[in-house]
Amino acid sequence: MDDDSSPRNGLTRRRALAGGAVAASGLTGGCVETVEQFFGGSSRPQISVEIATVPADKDSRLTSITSTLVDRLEAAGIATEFLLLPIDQLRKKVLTNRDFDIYVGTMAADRDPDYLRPTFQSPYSNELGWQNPFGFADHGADSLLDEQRHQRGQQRRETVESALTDLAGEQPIVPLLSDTAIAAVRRTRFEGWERVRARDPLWLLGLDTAAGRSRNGRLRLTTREKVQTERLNPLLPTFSEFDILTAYLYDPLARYYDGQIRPWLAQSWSVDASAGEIRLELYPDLTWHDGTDLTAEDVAFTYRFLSDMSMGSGETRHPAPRFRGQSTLVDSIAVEGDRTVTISVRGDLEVGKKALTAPLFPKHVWKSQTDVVDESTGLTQAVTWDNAEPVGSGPLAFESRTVEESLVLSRHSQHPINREGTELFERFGPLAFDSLRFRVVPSARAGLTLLSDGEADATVPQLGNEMVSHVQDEPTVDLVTSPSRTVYHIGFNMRRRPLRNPGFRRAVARLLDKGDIVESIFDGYADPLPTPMADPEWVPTQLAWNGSDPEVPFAGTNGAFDVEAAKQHFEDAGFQYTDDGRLVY
Amino acid sequence: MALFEVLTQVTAVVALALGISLGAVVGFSRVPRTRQQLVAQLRVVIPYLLFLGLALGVTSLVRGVGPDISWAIGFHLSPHIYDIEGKFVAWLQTFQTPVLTTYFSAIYVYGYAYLLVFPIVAYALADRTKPLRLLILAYVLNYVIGLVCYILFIAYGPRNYLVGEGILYSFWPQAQFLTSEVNTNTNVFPSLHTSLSVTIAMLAVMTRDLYRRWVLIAVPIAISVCLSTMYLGIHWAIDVLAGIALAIVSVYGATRLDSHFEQGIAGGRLWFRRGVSAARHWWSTVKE
Repeated sequence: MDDDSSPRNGLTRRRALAGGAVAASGLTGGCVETVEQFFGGSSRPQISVEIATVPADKDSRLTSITSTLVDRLEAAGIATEFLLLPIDQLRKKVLTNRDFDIYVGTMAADRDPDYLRPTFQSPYSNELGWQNPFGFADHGADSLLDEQRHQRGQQRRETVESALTDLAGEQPIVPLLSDTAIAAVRRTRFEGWERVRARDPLWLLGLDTAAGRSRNGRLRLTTREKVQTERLNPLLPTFSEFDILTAYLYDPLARYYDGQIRPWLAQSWSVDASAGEIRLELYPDLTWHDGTDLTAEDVAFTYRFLSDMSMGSGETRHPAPRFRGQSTLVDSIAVEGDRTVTISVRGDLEVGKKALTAPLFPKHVWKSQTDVVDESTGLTQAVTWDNAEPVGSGPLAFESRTVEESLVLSRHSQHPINREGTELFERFGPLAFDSLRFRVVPSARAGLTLLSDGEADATVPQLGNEMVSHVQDEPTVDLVTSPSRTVYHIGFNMRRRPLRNPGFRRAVARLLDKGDIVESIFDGYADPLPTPMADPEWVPTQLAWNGSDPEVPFAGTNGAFDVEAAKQHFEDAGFQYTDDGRLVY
Repeated sequence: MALFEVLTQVTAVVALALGISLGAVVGFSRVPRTRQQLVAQLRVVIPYLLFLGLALGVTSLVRGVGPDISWAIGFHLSPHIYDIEGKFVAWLQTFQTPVLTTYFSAIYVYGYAYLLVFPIVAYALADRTKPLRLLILAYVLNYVIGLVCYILFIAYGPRNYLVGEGILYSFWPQAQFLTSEVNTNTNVFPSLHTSLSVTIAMLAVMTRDLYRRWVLIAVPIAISVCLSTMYLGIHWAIDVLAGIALAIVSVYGATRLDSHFEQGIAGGRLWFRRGVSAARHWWSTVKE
């Protein structure tokens, strides 16, 4: 922060003001420009932004990226406030309150580009969760993201490529990279850790017992996330791809495996392409974890509920933010028997099958959770509910929990994966363990000591790369790595100036060298991303990573930052520098 | 199990250090010998212990809701600390050596625990009660004011800003099982490690005619604890300065409170006696 000579005057001035700022920003909401005006400093206010991320305890890579960004923004004459928040507070700030300037965080990208629609389309910007929290409003992108829903094959590919090109130009977020999922595992009791990508919902379903071990053992995982011992509500937005709730507790009609979306709780389906309908047959004898039968009624309820969590009782509809991508694909749903439903899909069926990947909700539990808590923010009881004893239909059922310490799940024997003769049993079953315990540990290092002592079998696949050497030092513990769809990115709140200026956002994007971040901060355990799609298959060739970002290349060379070049980009965006190097409006 | 191991280790080390140093510092000459002396001392100290119990009771209630209040009204202080002191702690860590790391890690965990416990035992064994009274009051003030600050200010330490590194937890990962039970990583302003250590050192100097050797132990350990919090990347220099300020306020407050207590207790006893005699008088008139 004090290595670069140019903004020195600005910094000392700020330091002198800091005492006053501490007192005053409580009143002005952290707005430095107001303080400066109040003290009669400059007539043109310095551009100031607040940058929020999580503390190093949570993910030191995010903190490290942010620290670099803060230093470089300061060097480029922008007053920055470096704010750390625990993950749930950051989530609330960005996804619920939308009260942020810039944050550096992660989001779970989908393999299908249709996820870009709720994430970046302007109509979603007044809603909750991962529905355009950025306030991005671009008519071109809006139409392209609508069009791709009704297309297939090459035509859809071209539309998606245009949308990605538009997003790359506008930079509503600066996609940085997708990290490699890293886990530490012991192979003494279980094996098959590499069969499925570690952050895929099916990861633990791919396990087998080690030779001579019974299937009635307990699989013991360590996690850093306390929230999984507190709130077990699958409607809450997440910042991560590894979500126990949607992976093991709440099951959908269909899941993606072996290359496409395939039946899961649905035993089979038939597709009527001309009518845009999918007729599904559920497995016989499905039950919820509390023993109640799972029927076509529950399926119909789920999709009505996801499209309006107030079930008609609110002033307006309150769709479930997290599954908006799925629920908006459903036009209508008809129950045709205990086990049969017909879903009529909006858009092309190629995209429409994604609607089947939303988790099912038991009608008898959630029909009483439909009150509206706050009509203005759109909060309903369904999202604010802790759901401390979840009733789902997944292969594992909730057994017990100790707040801030542990969560125990146990095998749901009625699930098709655990029933001999079913297709799921043939492909995945039966489960290699009869219970699964997550134990909260204070740090990854502390968790690793449990593994080496034989008190745990694996960590959740969210280890930082700084743990790699420690894992390799343990003779009884192995490293498991796989690519992920977790997108590390810089998010802008475009409702605020100067962030609504695309030139400013592009200039910010150029402050970071994605390739250097991958090498120096992630030790190569990541892939640089020029677009928000983690899988390269949808990305047009001119936007592919070519050793540098093709759209917003780094202002500098080989990781060495060029302040003057960076300043030029901010000037090109229409801002000016004062004599003492402050960037002003 | 990991927590249990660390806890046992700390208890064993502190007990050993206590055993050795009590003999050397306190000796056996000052221990109150008669039963009457003991009872007399206890009568003086009991109101202080009640006050301590009351403070602990209230604060444990507050601690339950503290984080919620804090997230609702708390002021984010660390961005400003970061702005003002920048990378000082990282600079301090450039002097890192394996010997210093071992020393400061041991000081932060064992040294601090020993420093907290020793004066309680030593002052309780003294032939006068003033040091123990001051100690209790100063502990309460440190704790209560510290807790209020933790609610009002949300602050992450330097290691969470990657200013320097969290040396303690990479040197001794298991220690985190213990510290995470006691600390929250948003409670760094002020440093209670600093304030309590400095409080004890100040009291050691103020009561130096009682245990002269204790000064020679307490002051170096207290200084080491202050340095260790920064060396290990846990606290900012500003947290340590605030901790020293809190110590001064607490010790000054304790001496003021103590004189109020003495008057108050004397007054209380007087009113109690008056009440008793009035009741007796009333009873005797009723009987007649």
